Amino acid sequence: MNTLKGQVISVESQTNLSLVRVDADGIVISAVVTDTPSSAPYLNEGSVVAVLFKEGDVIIGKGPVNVSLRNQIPATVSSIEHGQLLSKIHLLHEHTNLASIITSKSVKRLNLQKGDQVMAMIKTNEILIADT
Amino acid sequence: MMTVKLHRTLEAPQGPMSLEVDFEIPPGQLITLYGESGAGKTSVLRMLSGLMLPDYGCITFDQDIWFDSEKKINKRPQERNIGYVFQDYALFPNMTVDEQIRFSLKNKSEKNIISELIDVLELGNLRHRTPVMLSGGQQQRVALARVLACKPHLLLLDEPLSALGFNMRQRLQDYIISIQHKYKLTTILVSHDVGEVYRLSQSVIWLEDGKIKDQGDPKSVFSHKQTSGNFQLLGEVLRIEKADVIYITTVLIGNSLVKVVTEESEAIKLKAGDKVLVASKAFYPIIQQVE
Repeated sequence: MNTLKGQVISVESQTNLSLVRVDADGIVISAVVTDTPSSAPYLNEGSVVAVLFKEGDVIIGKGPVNVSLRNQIPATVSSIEHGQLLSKIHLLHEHTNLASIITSKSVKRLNLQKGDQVMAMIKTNEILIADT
Repeated sequence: MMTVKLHRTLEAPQGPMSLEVDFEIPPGQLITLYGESGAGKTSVLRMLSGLMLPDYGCITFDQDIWFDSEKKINKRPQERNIGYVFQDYALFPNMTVDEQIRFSLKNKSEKNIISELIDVLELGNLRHRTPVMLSGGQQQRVALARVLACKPHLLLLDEPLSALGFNMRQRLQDYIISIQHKYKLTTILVSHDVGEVYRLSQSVIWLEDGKIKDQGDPKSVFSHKQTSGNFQLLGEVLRIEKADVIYITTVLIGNSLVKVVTEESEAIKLKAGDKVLVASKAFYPIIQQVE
């Protein structure tokens, strides 16, 4: 699980749904959650929260990308664990370590190498916000 | 409102243990005493019912003082009007279901409560049977009916369902819920089954080595952290297997097996038997009708 600690910078709510923006050490993460400040008191501006997302939900893009994803984090590939079907890509954005699990076929197709500049992308609905 | 303050030194296998509890129960609520064996749960029930003498403390039920070590008050068990149901049904072997319930009536003129209890606990077809002709779940329903016939102020349930199989447990839980609904009895349940605590109680007291470790509503006590994934299930880890660069953790939730993809740094912290919270965002689960 990728776990970042950050501060809530904005919350837009509509009935039971909220779009939350969190600043995690310079990385701004947007998450859509099925809670509102009244059902989850930590969904308030200034609250310190944990931002959680699974490695399997981190998409890797190489080269210029034009996609709908709101969360795009530029990062450097720091190492790759090659598996038979799946591979784990370790990424670094400034001081933040992230990991992504993608198919080994994609690693090959993108010709991913240690040191590559990539874009790590996560859909807003795949991010969990937790109280710390 | 019931208020309980109890102190007592107990002999535990690892040496003397000091039991110290202090809690309140709002009228008509069902609370659970949760904890490992030997945490002091049954001792608390025994002191509440007057079967074990606290070293000091006090117990009041509404305005009625049951025990007060300073005022030297100690009501006898029968003066406290408590219904006590154990894991062991303790039915009279030679009495029919009807007779068992009738026998425990305090006021023999209140015959209508017998038919009411037979109704609520669905014992109608069984009323002329003796215990040997009843299943474990049926016997426990009779034991409940018999205790309720005394119209207790306080109902104590000491792991009443732990000898029963999964499906029977679920059904008995439904009966306890409907009894609670109908009679609004202040009830204390002893259980070490998290699922049962969630289903039955408004509030839980977690005992550990004779002390209250945590208390509150089951959700806040058992899910240590609040997360926005409102899909949360409690389970037990059965095994963790490596698969390529990931791990597959098999978790038992209720009576179903769930597999969760786990990353190495989490997988190495888990071991079989661990109690875990399985959470997911509300976006993931797919709902399909099966009937």
